[in-house]
Amino acid sequence: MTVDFYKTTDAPNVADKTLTDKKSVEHVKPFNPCNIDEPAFLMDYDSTLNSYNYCYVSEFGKYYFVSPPTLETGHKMRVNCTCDVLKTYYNDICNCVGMITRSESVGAPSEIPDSQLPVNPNNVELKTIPFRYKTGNSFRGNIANPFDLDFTTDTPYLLQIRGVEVSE
Amino acid sequence: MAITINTSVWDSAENWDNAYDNNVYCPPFPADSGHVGDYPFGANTIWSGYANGNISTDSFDDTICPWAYGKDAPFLGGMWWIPNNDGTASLTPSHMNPETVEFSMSDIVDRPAFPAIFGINDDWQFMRPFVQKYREITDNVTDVDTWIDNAGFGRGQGAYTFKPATNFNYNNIACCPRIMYISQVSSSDKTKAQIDALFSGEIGNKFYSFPYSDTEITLDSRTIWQADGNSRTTIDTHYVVGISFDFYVVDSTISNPNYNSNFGFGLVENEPFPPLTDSGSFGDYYKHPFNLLGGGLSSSQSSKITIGGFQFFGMGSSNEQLYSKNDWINSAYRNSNGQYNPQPKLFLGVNGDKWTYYGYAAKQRSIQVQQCAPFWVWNGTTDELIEYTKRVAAFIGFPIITRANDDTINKKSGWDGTGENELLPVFDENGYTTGDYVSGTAAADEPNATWGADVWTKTDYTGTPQPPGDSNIYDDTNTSELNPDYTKRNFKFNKGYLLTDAQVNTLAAKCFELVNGLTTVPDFVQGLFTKLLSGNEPMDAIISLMFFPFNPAKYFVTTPSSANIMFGALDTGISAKEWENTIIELDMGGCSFYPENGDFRDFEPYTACELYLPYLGNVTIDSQLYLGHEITVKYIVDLCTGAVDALIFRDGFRADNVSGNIGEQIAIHGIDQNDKLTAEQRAHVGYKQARNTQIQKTASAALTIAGGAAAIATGGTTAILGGIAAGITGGLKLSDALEGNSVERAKFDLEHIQTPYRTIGKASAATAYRDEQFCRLIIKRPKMLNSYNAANYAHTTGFATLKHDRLGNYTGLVVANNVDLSGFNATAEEKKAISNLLSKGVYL
Repeated sequence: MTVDFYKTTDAPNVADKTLTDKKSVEHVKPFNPCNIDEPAFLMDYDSTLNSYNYCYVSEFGKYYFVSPPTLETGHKMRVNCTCDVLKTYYNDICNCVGMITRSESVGAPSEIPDSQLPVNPNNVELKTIPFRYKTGNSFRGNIANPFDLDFTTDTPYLLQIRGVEVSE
Repeated sequence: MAITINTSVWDSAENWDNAYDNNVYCPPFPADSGHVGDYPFGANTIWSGYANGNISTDSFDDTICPWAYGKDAPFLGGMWWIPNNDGTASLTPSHMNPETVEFSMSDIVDRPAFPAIFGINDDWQFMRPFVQKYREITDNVTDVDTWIDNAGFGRGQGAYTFKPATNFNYNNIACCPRIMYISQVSSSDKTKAQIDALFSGEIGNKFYSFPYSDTEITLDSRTIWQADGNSRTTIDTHYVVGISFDFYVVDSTISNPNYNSNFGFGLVENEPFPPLTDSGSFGDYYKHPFNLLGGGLSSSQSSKITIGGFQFFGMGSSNEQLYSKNDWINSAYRNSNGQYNPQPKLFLGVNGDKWTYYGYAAKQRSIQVQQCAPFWVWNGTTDELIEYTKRVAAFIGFPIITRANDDTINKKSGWDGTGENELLPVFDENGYTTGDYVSGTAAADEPNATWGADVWTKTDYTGTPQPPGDSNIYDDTNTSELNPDYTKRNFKFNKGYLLTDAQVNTLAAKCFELVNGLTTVPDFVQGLFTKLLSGNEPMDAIISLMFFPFNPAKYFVTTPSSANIMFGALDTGISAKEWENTIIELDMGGCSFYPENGDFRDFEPYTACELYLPYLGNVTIDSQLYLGHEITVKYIVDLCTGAVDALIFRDGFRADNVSGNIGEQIAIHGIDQNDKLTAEQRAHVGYKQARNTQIQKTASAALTIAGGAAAIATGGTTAILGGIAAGITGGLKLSDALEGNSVERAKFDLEHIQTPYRTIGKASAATAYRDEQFCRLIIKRPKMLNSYNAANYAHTTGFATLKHDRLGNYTGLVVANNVDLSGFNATAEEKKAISNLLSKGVYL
């Protein structure tokens, strides 16, 4: 069996991990019995593999996280692996439909209330808009202040008198 | 009404692909863009948009394109008349360069621009009316005949006169002219100064809307607006850009030199031209503004013409020119030999805040969109560009499909639900586009999801059908109709006089003068006479005196007449205006409530808003109801009571009202004539009675003395005299004490009658008169914590999404629940592990 070892700096929850420094190792033997979700492999000791943390087993068609190797007798080393389902089924997952509750790529807050967004509860921005008259399609017209009185000529006082018409 | 929508290219994917493959509709960069010969997205790629479709109908109104009619600014483009072989001309939009329109994504949300590109005979023209270079014509230019060779219009010695309220109002549609001006004009430039003076400095890289008033605005064409048709070598980089419905002579160095004719263009907001009637007579409406080749206007003519309500001076013949359709076409597109000018003249721009339709033939009007696309100014494919295009398409109602890498956007005949990159426009409940779109399976519930290839015929779509059993008749427009007859409510049971400040003081003095004057016989008689006739005294005639913080007479529908103020029959001699209406309306203006963030933070409880209403104070309004709408306020004032009802409108719908008082009651103090008369009469009577009593007592005392004298005759004289003396002394002293004091008191009372005062009305607070006198929208928006970093937040936490969608449509952090993991071969344990991971968040 051939196992392709890689290095990756991506977090485990990164689905499409970037894999580098491929190193294929042949004549790898799986421990018996072998659980293909968490297989263990026995191979010749190779100190360069100590820094590898990822592998692909073409025979299983799966990607694995690699635990630090343990040394075995006979200049052998044991490598424990755990299947990375995200990378293994990456394309399949992308085609699945589900309820996306949060995402990075929407790029900005949406109309969906987000209680986790760090809104400052103690600080508000005050904006005020004095009313104006509409010109065209915007409210940029000068407004005529209806309350602008000229006390010498305007007649703001209303005297109401009983309307009995009496002739002298 | 027959409606046909011809989408000769759009109607099939095949046609579209043909156009795409042939690169027919892909314009290169403009010559001066620094990318000569390049194409925005590569030489053989079409970069977006739609090609060569047109929509035709015999009547353009809101029954056609209801999903778009009246929407804000879907187009940013110009229009060409393109001559056809049959002697007609068709109208085609060009684009206007969004470069000079400051776009942002927030603009696109509500007011997307629609940049269109036009092409003629595969020779793409880049009309960039907003960035054409103009040479300002200064006062030093004297050779007017060389300014503009062919175009007789606007030779620079004229002026354009606008009366915005008159000229830009059609069917009550306010159509204010706008001006576009770019700030390359230096601040020291005379023209800039003039412009600033004219427009209060509102100009500079943006539109400026003329004040919507009937103030006449005259623009000197020499110094401000004209371009030079010949002296291009001296063109300055002064970018003066259009006035709505104005016509410019454009430097055409970026166009094909063969098409070097000058052409004018203008920006048109709303409908400066009335739409054609079905009879299609241009002559009824359209008046030719300029002459290009022969006929019409010449430089030597100096009168004016009227176009669409404008007056264009200095370029007309001696008589006003009216042009028919044929005149228009002939002069615009045919040369002096009757041949069509190879360069059609752009004569109108479609830019605006509404869809604007222009007719070109009887019973047919057309909008053609040869191509609309994100413009080269973005200089590459960006997320913003893609999003912009998607939204433009969504505004127009087009379903589109994006390529896998999202760098191209193609028109699609309909949505079939097979692709997650299919985008379907979202319509609102009234059948209007929103600019939003949905994709993939999430679009299945949209009404247009089932239209398929018939999407282009769904012009009668008016919104979501009512649910079964709902028989209500909804007002799709949500427009409140206020009672137009309020001015007719003008009863005259009471008399009302409008007084100036001085008249109130005069009246106050008059009130006291009238009453105090009653001590004289004539006034006293007149007062009694008045009282007898009216049944009351003059003070009783007054009901109230109120101060309003505005001039009611200004708002009466008819000019108030004047008359002397009468207290019953008493003529005060004060002439005052009589009220004409008891209910008046004050327009308090308004504002637009634009979303700040475009997300949940714009709404309550994160954003709170209030209205400050003069004389009513602050009122809280529902931000959910008003956000994204216009807020206007009208005050309805009842002059009788001083009550005010502030009507708060969301667009045309009266959504809220606030009641209060705006009339300030003024307490009127005066002498209570009744009480005064009574007191006077009582004092007179008391005095008379006291004196009569005194006289009687005196007489009685005299009789007692006489009795005493008789006793003297029968008794001892000394004793009797002593008794008399005592009797007189005692008797008169008592009398003096009783009767004499009563008379004095009655006399005192008569001479010191206390003036009885009356107060009519009760003073009310006037403190609001010192407060702000304009309405104001007060918005309290949330702030983010200083530590907030959007990119970091997005990467580590993710933004709330809540979309039922394909996971592959997202990148970066994705948190998903209820994912359907069917369709691929993995063990149950593996799928459970995947599900758990997705619910916690994975990076795709």
